[in-house]
Amino acid sequence: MDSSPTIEVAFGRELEVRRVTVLFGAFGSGKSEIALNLANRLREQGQDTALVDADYYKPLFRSGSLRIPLEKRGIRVILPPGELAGADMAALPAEIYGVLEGGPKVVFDVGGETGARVLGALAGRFRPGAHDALLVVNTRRPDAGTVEAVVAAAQRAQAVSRLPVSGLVSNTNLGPVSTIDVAREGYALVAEAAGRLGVPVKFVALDERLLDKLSPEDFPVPVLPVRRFLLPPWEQEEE
Amino acid sequence: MAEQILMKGNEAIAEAAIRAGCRFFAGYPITPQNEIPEYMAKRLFEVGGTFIQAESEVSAINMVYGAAGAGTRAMTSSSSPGISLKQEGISYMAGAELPALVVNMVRAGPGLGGIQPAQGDYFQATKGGGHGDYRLLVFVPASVQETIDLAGQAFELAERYRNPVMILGDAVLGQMMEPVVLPEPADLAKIPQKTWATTGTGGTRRPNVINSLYLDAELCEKHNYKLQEKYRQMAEREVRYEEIGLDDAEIVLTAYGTSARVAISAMKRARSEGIKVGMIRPITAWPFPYEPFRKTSERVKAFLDIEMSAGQMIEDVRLAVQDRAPIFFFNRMGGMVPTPKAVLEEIRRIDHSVKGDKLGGRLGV
Repeated sequence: MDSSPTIEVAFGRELEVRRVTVLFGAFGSGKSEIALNLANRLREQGQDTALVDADYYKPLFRSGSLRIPLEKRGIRVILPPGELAGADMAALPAEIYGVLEGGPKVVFDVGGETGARVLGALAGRFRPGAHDALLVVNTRRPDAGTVEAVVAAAQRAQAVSRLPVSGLVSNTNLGPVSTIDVAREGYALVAEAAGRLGVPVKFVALDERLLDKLSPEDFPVPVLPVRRFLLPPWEQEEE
Repeated sequence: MAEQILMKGNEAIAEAAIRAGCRFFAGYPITPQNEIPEYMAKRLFEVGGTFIQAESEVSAINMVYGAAGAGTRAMTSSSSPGISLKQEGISYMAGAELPALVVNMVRAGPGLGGIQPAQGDYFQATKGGGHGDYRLLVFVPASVQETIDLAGQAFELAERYRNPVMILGDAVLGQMMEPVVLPEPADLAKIPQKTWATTGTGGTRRPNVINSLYLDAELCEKHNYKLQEKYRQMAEREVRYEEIGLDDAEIVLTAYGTSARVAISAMKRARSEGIKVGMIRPITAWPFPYEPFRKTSERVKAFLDIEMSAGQMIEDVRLAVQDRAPIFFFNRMGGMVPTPKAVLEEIRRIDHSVKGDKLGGRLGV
């Protein structure tokens, strides 16, 4: 199986994806959707892929709720066993330790803010250079609208997870009414925060419905097209 | 227009309450509403308010009783089992005529049930979950923006009637994110003075007493008559609902909250198939909007009530419609949410049966 260090994203650009990608950040910043899209794209491009849903904080809109379709696509989904998969308590399945040791490309979805505390239990298991810990930021969310707020969020994420932030993901959007301008305005702010933190903006996540309006000059970093998987019940097309 | 942001229902309620002047929150954690106390813990501090994580739901509601008695805009939130624990305090507040906002982000029951969305607390919210003859003004919003708008008005109405107001949501409403515009923060100086509040006499007046105990039965009855008169006024003035596509409707859907969103989605699909479907969406569960049902029941062929419960609101629908039209029922329970497709199939079935005339009024619940 392909284990290329990169995947292809918008405009044929290469995005570096390390063996383990941890996505953290405030709740509602878009970690789960990005985790699902990253895992899908890795798998589509022939890579051995595992998704860890370690967001034990929210009861709904969890990446692990799509276990069956993900597994059909050949993505390994790591969740607490049985009924505990839907529980609001941190029950870390032993498999997590296995995939952190070696093997597939791992996308690690953790809960917002204090939810990232589960990572503390894994501190020391992340191998230097083999993982990315990416802070997902949507500047159109409460308490994320200024450079200072983003820097503070990164510092809080590092403190609770004991994992240094290695990059930012700019995911600024307004859901169904979003535009490229909204994404660009968010990127400018995220880039400034990244500069202060001394880390790169790893990529921009952009609603795939906006791709036809996107030009290669809009963002200097790779753009990951994002399809919404975690829809409210009335937008779902059927079991 | 103010800037749009993307908010979860839970944090939207919290922010809207603060902007409406809420300065006291006491609560105890429970999924699926934890974002409310989490948000309050962070934000109330910034505006000079008080957040208390209480040792239990019972103490939280009694702290709200105290804060409201002192004239502060106060609030608590929980989810089903926690709201059951608060019922004694809610009854005391209704008895003592204290304004406050109580949020219930409903999860599956009975008992501990589950952490997924449900609507099984309608009876508890609207028919008196605690003891005695009292009512709450109960809002049942169906979007994050509507939640913000209603939370914003909740304190004003609670104070106007000196009565607790409840927002009855569910796990989906609390967890989902939608683009919203927040209102400007209320001017606290313009909030009407509460001459009844226990804020200290300053030696200039007799002490205000806040109490729900009346040992003299005659006085207690008088107090009850006064409360009932207040509820009558609320029922007269505060009914809210939305009517959608009723002009030519033959089948009228009714649902609130998350079920209403599913119903609207099914209604649009049915309309595209040529089935004349309309909808009555209650925005207040108490007072219930009996009138639009009464009015439409004279001319429509059937009603379809959709709930995430065994059938609770349907009792109010029956009171309004009586035997003037058949009332069908579609539900899911235990944390399951109806799908638009399943509701659409139900609409098609009803459409066939009402057009096949001979089944007429015998069908339905």
